[in-house]
Formats: sequence, C-alpha cells, structure tokens
Amino acid sequence: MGDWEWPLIIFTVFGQIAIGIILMLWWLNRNRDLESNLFRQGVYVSGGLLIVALLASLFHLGHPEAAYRALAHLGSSWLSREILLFLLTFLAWIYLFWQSRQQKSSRVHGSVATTITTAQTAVGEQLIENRSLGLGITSVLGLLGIVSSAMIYVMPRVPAWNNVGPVLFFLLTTVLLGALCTLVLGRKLLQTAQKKRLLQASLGCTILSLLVYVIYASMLSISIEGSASLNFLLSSPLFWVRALLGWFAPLFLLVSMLKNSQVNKTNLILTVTLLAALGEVLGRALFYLSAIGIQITALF
Amino acid sequence: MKFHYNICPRNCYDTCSIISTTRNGVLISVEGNPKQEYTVGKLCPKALDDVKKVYSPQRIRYPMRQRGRYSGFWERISWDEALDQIAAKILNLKEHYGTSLPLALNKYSGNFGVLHNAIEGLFTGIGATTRAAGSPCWSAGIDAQTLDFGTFFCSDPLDMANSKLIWLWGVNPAWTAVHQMPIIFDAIDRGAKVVCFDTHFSATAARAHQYIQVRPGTDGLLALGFAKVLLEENLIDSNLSSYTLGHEEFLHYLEAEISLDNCSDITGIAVSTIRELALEYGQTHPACIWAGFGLQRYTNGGQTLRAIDALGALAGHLGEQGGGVQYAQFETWRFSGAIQNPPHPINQTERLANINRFSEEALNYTDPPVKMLWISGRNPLSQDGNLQQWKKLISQLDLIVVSDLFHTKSSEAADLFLPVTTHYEHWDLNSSYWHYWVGANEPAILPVGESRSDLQIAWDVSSRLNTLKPGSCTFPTSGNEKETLLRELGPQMLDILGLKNPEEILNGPVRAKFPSTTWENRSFTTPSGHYEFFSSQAATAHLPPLPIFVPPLNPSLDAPLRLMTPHHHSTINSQVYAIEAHSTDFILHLAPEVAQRYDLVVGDRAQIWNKSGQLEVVIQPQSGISKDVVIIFQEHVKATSPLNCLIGTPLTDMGQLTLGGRGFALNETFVNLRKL
Amino acid sequence: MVKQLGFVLDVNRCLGCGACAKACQNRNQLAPSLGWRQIRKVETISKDHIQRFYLSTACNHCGNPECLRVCPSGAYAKRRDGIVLHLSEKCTSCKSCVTSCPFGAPQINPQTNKASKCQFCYERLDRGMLPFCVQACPTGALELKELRDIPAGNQLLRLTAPVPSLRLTRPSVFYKPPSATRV
Repeated sequence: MGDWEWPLIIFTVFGQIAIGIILMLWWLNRNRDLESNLFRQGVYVSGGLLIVALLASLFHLGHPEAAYRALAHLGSSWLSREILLFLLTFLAWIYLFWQSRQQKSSRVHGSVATTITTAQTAVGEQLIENRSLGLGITSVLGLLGIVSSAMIYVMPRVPAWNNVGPVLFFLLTTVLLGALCTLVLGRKLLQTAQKKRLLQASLGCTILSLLVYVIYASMLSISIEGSASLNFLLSSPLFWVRALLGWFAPLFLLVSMLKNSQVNKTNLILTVTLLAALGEVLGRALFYLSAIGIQITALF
Repeated sequence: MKFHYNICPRNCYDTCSIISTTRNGVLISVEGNPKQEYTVGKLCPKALDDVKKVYSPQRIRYPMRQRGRYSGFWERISWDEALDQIAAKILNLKEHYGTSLPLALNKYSGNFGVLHNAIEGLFTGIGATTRAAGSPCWSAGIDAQTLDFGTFFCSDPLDMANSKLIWLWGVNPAWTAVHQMPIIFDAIDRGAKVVCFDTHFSATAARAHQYIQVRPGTDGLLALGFAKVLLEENLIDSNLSSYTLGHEEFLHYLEAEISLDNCSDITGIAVSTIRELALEYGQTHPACIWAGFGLQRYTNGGQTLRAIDALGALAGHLGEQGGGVQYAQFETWRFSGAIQNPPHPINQTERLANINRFSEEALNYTDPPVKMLWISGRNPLSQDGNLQQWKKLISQLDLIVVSDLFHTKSSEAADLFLPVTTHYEHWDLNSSYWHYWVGANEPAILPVGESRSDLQIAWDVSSRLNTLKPGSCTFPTSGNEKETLLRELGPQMLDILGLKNPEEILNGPVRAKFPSTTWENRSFTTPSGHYEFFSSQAATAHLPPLPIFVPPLNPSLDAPLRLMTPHHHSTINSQVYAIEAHSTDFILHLAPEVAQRYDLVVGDRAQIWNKSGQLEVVIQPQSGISKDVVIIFQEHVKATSPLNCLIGTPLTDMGQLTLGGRGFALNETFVNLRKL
Repeated sequence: MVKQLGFVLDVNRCLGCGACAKACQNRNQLAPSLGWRQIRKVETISKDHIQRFYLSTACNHCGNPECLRVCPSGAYAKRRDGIVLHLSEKCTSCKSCVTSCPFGAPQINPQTNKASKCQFCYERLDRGMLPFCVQACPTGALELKELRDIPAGNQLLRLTAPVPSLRLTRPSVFYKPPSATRV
C-alpha cells in the first residue's frame, strides 16, 4: 500500500494545471488573436503554479540540497528526464514572462501615441508571433515533461501502474484543469464561442477520464496485486468522493451548462472548476495510495 | 585486533566454540571456530547477537539494592556494601539457628561453565545448606537410559551422518541444535531417510521426508507398537541373548499386552503407518533414533524413553555405527570437582529440595526454615511451576540475592542484584552434553562495568565471611581464575581428552578420545553388564522393571487442552538474545479444527486458564498441530503475567536415581480456552 | 560483464533460522529498522504433504537492474563481477529505487536518509572473504556462486511473482527446487 505523497500530489497536479493553461493559451492564440490581458494573467498564474510545483517536488527528496544530482542519468531514468524537461519548461516560461512584460511596456507606449506607424505595427506583429512561439515551445516541453512524469510510474513492480494508465491520467488532468482554469481566468475576456469550446474540451476530458478509468479498473482485476489495488479503491470512501466530485458532479454541471447555454455563468464556471480540481487532487492521492507492489514469493 | 577462544555456555546441545575478535579491548564480533568439528565455524542466530548482548544498555553493570521487593526502586551500591550485607546475613542466620541450613541456593544452567560451580563451592564451604537438587530438564530420560544401558551416553553426533534412517523423535534441532542439521543433511545426501515424530509440524519436520504426528505422551506406546511389529515380522536381532537381559519377558509383554489396533487408537497413527515405519526401522541398518527432551516431560517420560531404547535394542541398532538411540551424555564432564568441594566435614549433609518443587519443599522445611535464598543462573519466577508457593516462600525470606546479567522476573523479588560477567569476560571450562568437545573459555575483554565472575563473587563472599568471622567459610578467599580452571582437569579428564598436562587445553578445544559410536562392543555398565529390558534397579525403585506403557495424564473437563511450551528459536528458556526485540502478546498456536471448535480465527484475542492462573493470548491456527494440544513457544514476551502462571508442578516418573530428584513433567499442563 | 556473482539457496537445507539476516544486520551495523536480508516462509499444504520452505532474499544483483534504470542521479553501478552497488554519495533519496525494485531490496536508511541495500559485502569479497550472510549460514544452504559456472540444464529455480506478463530483471539468485514432507 502506498502513502499520502503530498509533495508528489502537489507537484504533479499543479505542474499539470500550469502546463494545461499554457496549452490552452496556445490553442486560443491559434489565430493570433489572444487577448493580451488574458495572456498576461495566464502566464502569471501558470508561472506561480509551476514554481509551487517545483518547490513541492524538492520536498519529495530526502536530500533536496543534492537535487542537481538527479539530472545525472538521462540515459535511462525517466525521473532525470522529467526534471530536465520541467526545468526547460520553466526556462521557456521565463521567456513567456519576459514577453508579457514586453507587451505591457509596448502597449503603454502605444497608448500615449495617437498614431501607429507601420514600424510599430511590425514590432507588434513580431511580438505576437514570438508570443505564439513561446506558448508553443512551453506547451510542448511541458507536455513532454508530463509524459516523463507518468513514465516514472510505468514499472513492473506495481501492476496498477504498469500500463498506459499513468500517461493518460496525467494528460487528461492537464487538459481538463488547464481548460477550466483558463475559463476561470478568461471568464470576462473570452468570447462565448471560446468558452463553449473550453467547456466542451472539459466535458470530453471528464467523459474520457471516466472511460479510461473503467478500462484501467478492468485491467487491474487481472493480477493479484492489481485486484488488491482495485479492492482498496472500491472500498475506500475517498474514491467515491473523488468519483462524485471529479466525475459525476462536473459531468452533470458541464452538460447542463452547455445544453442550457449557461456558458457565461461565472458562478457555475467557478463551481465546476473547484469540483474538478478537488476530484483530480483526490484522484492523484488515490493513485499513490493504491500502489501495491508485487509480492515475490513463488519460484519458477 | 585480537582473537580469543570462547565457548557458548548455554544449556544447549551445541555448546559452540567461538572465536571472538576485539579491537582496543572492545568486543567487535564473534564467529564460530572452524577447527571445532561440530561448530565448524558457524554460530546460531542467538549467539550472533552476543556483542549486542554484552554491551546492551539494559545490562546491569553495578551491584544494586532494591528498596522494597517488586518496587522497581533499585539503587546502585558498592560491592563492599553488597558483600557486607550478604556476609552479615549469613553469619547472623548461622548464629541464630545454630546451623547454615536456612541458607538456600537455587542454581542451574544459566551458564554451564564449570567455574560457575564456585557458588556451590561457596555454600559447601559455609556448611550444610539447603539446595535445589535435580534438573528441570532431562531427568526422566537420563534415568531411563541409566537403567537400560548403565549410564546415558550418546554417540558422537557426527556419527549420525553414517545413518541410513534417522528418526527425530520429540526433538527440534532446526531450532535448538542447528549444528546437527548439516550432519543430518549430509546423511540425506548419502541417501538416508529422515522421519520426524512430534506433536506439531516443527521447523525440523519441514526438513524431514516424513512427519508423524503423535498424540502427546503416547510415544512410549508407539515405540512398543513398532516393537510388536518387529516381533510379528521376525525382525528381532538374533544375538539379543548375548548382550541383553530380560528380552523374553519383554517379548512376552509385547505379545500379551500390546495390540496394534489399540496402539493406533491411542497414538493417533494408522496401523498401516505403524507397520510401514516399523518395517523400515527393522530392515534398515544403520538406523538411528534421536530421542529429544520433549518426549520425557510427562509423568510417563522415563517409561517412554525406556520403550524407545527397547525398540532400538530389539532391532539390533544399539552399538551400530550410525545407529543407536541417542539422548545425551555426561561422560565428557568428569572434571575434578575441586571447585565445588572445598574442605568440609565428611558428614555434612545438605538439605536437598527438588528443583521442580523447590518453593513447596522449601516452605515445608521448618526446622530450621529457609531464610535466605541465592538465585544464580536461574530465573525460577519465570520458569518454575506453582507461583503462589513461590510468593509465599519469598515473603518468609530475609534476604534474596540474584546474580545475573539482566533484570529478570526473579530479580523483581530480589533484595540484592549482583552483576555477573559474560563468557567474554571470564575464564571458564565447558563441555557439551551432546558432542564430545571440551574447551577453555578465555576472557576477551575486561568485565563490563563492575560485573564480576561467579568465581570472583564466591571468593569475595568467602573473604568477607572470614574477615567478619575467621574460619566461617572454607571456600578460598582469593585465587587465579585460570589456575582454578586448570585444576578442574584432573587425571581422569586428562585421560579422556588425551592430554598430558592441563595447560594444553588453552591451545583450543579438544575432542574427548571416545570412539564415535557408543556401546559398539555391546558391553554395558548395568549391574548385569547387559542391556536390560528387565531392570531390577527399576524394580527396587518401585518402577516397572520392564518398559511398559503407562498412560500420561488425561485432560479434564475444566481444562480440556494440553498446553505445550517448547523452546523458541530466539531464546533458551528465559534467556533472551535480541533484547530490544520483543512482543507484547503470547501467541497460541493450535490446529485449525480446534480454533474452529472455539469459534476462533487468526488474530483473535482469547484467554487460556486453569486452576493455577490465566493468560491472554492471540490465536494463530496452524496446520500440522495435534488436535490435543495448544502451543505457546517460549518467546520473549513483555506481558504482566508470565507464561508459567499456568503451570503446576507435575513430576516425571524418573530422575531420582541419577539426579536425586524427579524431573519436571511440564507437558502435563492443561488449560481451557475462550474467546475474549 | 565479465562475471555475474549471485546467491544460490538450497531451500531444502535452509532452516529459516535467520543467521544470514542476523549476521548481515549485526556485522554491517545496520539500524534496527533496516533489514537488507529478509526471510519469508512459504507454505503449501495438500492432503498428504506439507511443503514449508524459507526464502532468504537480499538484493538480487540483477542482470538487468531496475534500480539502476530508474535512478536519476546515477547512484547505482554494476561492477564487472555483476555486483550492483548503491553509491550513497550520489543518492538524492528520491525513493525511485525503493518503489521500483520488484524485490523491495533498497530501503531508506534512517541514519543517512538515503537509500541502502545489500552490497554483497564487496569489500570482503575483494579481500577474498565470503559475504557475512554466506559465512554465517549454519547449514551451508546459502552459497555464493559465479552464475556462469553453473552448468546448463541445472534444475535451479528463480524467484517470480504470480504476474504472468511481468518482465523480470534477471535476478542473480537461484533456488534449488523445494521438496515436501509427507504427513
């Protein structure tokens, strides 16, 4: 049986939200028309989350002061790769941060001027192009980092993890919470159509998450240790709280919001985000708690 | 780094030869001595904790005085204060009663080293005293073999490797004599078959080819059943008349009194199995039986051993290389005895109380009563039966002295605690009651704290007595441990060991120069010089002259389950090795069917009780346990009430002849069980 | 790899006495909570047989060590004689090895707060001595063997788990087939 791995829960969930937000910003900016304020807010919030995540990850180490050594084994260690990719993601984020400062100063400058020269327009276009590139690079690095995180858990020792489950769970968390958090940030700035797309993405992720979990559970029941994990999950009240908060309640709310054209209702957006986030945190806690290593007692 | 020869002095078959390593006067490791052929460089897991034990923080390093028995308020005192108090009390009692009989000594096997007999020597030097006599362990078996063979003497345990069939009967060497196991495995590798007879599927049974679950206390009848098959199948040694006495009478008894159906009903073993095993035993040569101590801890224990001996004799396995009926031996213990026999009047007679009923018998002495008790190398309050009587005895005593390494259940009642040295801190001389090796134990380190050896303590007490009242104790008042040791190797022992002078023992352990197989020439030391199926010595002692079946005690309705308390692999009786590791629950092992009968499942808390006391236990059902017994292994358990609170003082049928007291029929303890 | 040292346990000679684990614990001066070598009892009961044997296991010095694969700081190394070493000075205590070793060999040492495991007493081996566990085994059940010297067609068994698809790490530990006691 696993433990309550708080540093890992915070690191993975927060890191995934941060990258999810940047991913959503990248997607929203596909026509180069991302609202600058939303860009700035998104970068700030994702950066804050990323920093908290990285700090939390240090607490998982028995010797945080020696964390730099953990980069030494990129050849085969997914943990080394994860750390490298998250550091690169963070560097990319610093570039985004710098971009958001640039944008601000240029806009202040622009507001004073009454006429916009073509040179200024060119500079602005360049900025928007760089912004898009920055978001793209950060998203790709971040997603690779998340996949590496998930790959750490794919190992023969724990049958519950030794499958595609961890990768799917981590990516689904990224998109789901990324979309919902972006929605919260852009609740006043996004257009209704954009909000609708984000809500649809969230609904898709929730449904997919539930489906993947059912398949995952049926895969678990094959092995003894997997069944033990499954029994633990199904008999744990925490699991049912997670199911209610993270799957059924959001499912109900998202469907009703989309059906009844309530996409602009800020309260509902906040509620569904909060529920989904709580559900994911509990889900992640259960992910660690339900890890049951194989018992090697037989000879062959 | 320095190396020293040490010998593990425990009451254990193996009595291992140890090489200890010290660095700057500190003991850092212990290993088996590769040159001693029985230890062959290996130690059991208990001895592997010796370094921890020597330096354990729980070890008592200074003489202590308890302010009020059972209070736990111990204060450190000096040796002078301790010796003064002891000597003054001894002289005071002697003067008051005009005899030293109020002084009692209860000592046994905490350390089997010969120099520990100094405490007996001290008491002898004081005058006639009250002593615990006999043994809580092997008495009945010893007497049985003495009646049959003339003395108890086993073959060199290495001889077992030559056997083609080994019956391990009531013995669990995988836990209590690990060094015998590789010898048995070697025999297996050469094609021998091993059968284990026990009441429970032991660690030894798990390594045997076959396990026979015998109903407790019926082993003697089983042996007689086997003998009956030998008779029927004409597998009896044709030379019996040349070296045995009374075999006709015995065969007649088998013919007239033993029926296989009855034997099967009582022992719980199918007739077909009895036949099969008997045929194997009768037809395989050499075949060896190792009869364990567990067999004879019954009211019929001596008879059981005699029946097994008779089976071995009937099949012609006695004197066979790799055969015989092995029990134990004392032939390598023929030390001079100088230490326990300081000058004393020839007519000085001690008052001997059976060690197994010590409290009761000591309480019965009134003229004069017992007033002072010295407990050495023993822990009676955790091992003896009848604790109520012990409580009573304690309350009548003026002074209780305990000498030990650690506080024990017994020291809870003591007034004075004298810290003793371990075998790494003093000279000693050790023999085994199983293998043939004898060796000197050298000190590897200085005594820890202010601890002193038993010999030193005996000298010191004698010295103090003689200072206070010159001539009050004839035991030496000082000396040299090494020289005292060498004096124990008298001419007889030197001859046994093939040594010219005692100093040679200091070069390392020596094997006694006995042939490997006992009774090889089939000349016995009984009065008749023959193996005695019919023993007139037994008849004189009001015992059946023939080995016959006498049933063990039966459980009653109030206590329907027989409680067994065999040794655990981590302890020897109450001696603990890994001091820090202990459990707080007694584990009751029982057959799954019995657990079901009492509606119990694994982990349940339950209570066992009888007239003597009650105990809380945790249930552990286990396959392979006889349905007639429940078992608590003697593990170290930190509990308020000790395991022996359930035990009375049933005695074995034999033990008086050789040891002066009948043995402890520990396995005749019965309890009731209920779920809590 | 030039060699692959490993343990061979004759389960029919093993008493489960624990001398190997004791020797390891005491001679390596391990904290009480650490047990580099563990003993597990395995029992199978049928109508007329009881098979009880003990698995004494430490680090298996795998041919394909999972600890070495997952360790992010390169704190594991495989020597030319096949011994898998944990290099404490490189360990960041990320516990990857602890969670990923299928045999549970690496454990966190409470004194250093770093991973630790059986090092095959390599310093003793380098001086021509046996590991403490092998030296202590009173029945000779536990042996040190150069695995490539074991002839093909031997009847030795490996450890496994009841998971059919498990990709094991080629543990360098072999067991003689256990026998059963007739009851």
